[in-house]
This record gives sequence, structure tokens and C-alpha cells, in this order.
Amino acid sequence: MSKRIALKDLIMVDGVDLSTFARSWSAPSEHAREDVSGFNSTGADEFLAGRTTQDATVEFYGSYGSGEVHQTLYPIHRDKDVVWLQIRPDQTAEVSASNPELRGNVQLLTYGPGANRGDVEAFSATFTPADAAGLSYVIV
Amino acid sequence: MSLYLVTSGTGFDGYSQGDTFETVLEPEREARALRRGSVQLLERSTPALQPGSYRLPSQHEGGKK
Repeated sequence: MSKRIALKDLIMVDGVDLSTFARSWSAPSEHAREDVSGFNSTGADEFLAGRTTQDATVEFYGSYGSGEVHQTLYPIHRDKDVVWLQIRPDQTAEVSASNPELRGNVQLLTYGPGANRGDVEAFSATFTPADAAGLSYVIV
Repeated sequence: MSLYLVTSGTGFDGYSQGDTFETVLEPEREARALRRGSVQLLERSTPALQPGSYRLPSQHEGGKK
């Protein structure tokens, strides 16, 4: 498996390809660390994996054209809609074991574009899983 | 089943601008796509039997046994 430079990533929200309006993404998945330590001879702590917390954060450029970032994200946030999110490393290749796609039904709980004079307008949007399936990587 | 034209440069469901596709979209999803200009509804087809395209059992030849 080769290393890669992130250039061709796919970011699709509610079926809209926003890849060209995005410049970074991250999708942390974390299990809560539950302390189940008891008295023992070594004094070592013992943990079990608890609740799973996931989200996907994408940094978008501000864009207000037809079918672009604002027209896609704002109604989803305003109406508390549940939409399909897809993220994969290579938009030019099909989903596969070497091009896994992160998928899930999500909501956009916070929508906060902003701008600074003279700077490129960009902001982060965090998508939160909206059902028990969460966000998962698929390879087919 | 409805026929849609992709009107936005950001595409829709993997289809590119200018493509047409036939599918059944959830009403809310269709409304969002139409509002933001992702797609244009070209034709809504409701499944229906056309007059004369069917016969009832009593009219069917050999229907009585």
C-alpha cells in the first residue's frame, strides 16, 4: 500500500458533490474509556470500551452558487434534516478495499460560516451521526 | 418513478450536470434538490393500467373451466 497525498478526495452531502469546495476533512471515532479497575496485585488500571462517539468534520470554502455549499448545507441545518454523507480518498475510483468510503446518515447541528476581510472564506462543518448505524467505512 | 435533469455543476447522486436519470426520491430529499437547483423534474410517472391493456378474468378467453 502506497502513501498518498490528499488531492482527489470525495465529499458528498445529500448527493451533492462538494469536493471542489472542501479542503480538509477528519472523521474521528472514539469509544469511551470506562474504568473497571479493581484491586489487584500490580495496581494497574483496567478499562473497557464504552459508548462510541463519532462525527465527520469538513472544512468548506464559502460559496453561495446554485447547488453549492450554502445552498446545500444551510437548508439541512435549518430543517434539521437527516442526509447521507459520503467521504472517500479517491473520487476518480470506485469504492474498494483500497478506496474505502465513510458513509452514514448525518445531521448538521451547527452551521457557522464566517469571513475575514481579504481572506478566503472558509469554515468547518461537523456532521453528527443521526442513527444507530453511525458512520462506517464500506468497501463495496 | 420520476425523470430528473441534473442542473447544478455540483451534480447529484453521482450524475453530472446535464445528465438525466430516473428514480424514486424521498419527498423531502426531492424538495431539497429542487430548491437548491441540483435537479429539475422533467416527468412524473404514476404507475397505471392503460384502458384496453388488460382483461378481467371473466373476459379472458378460456377463463371458465
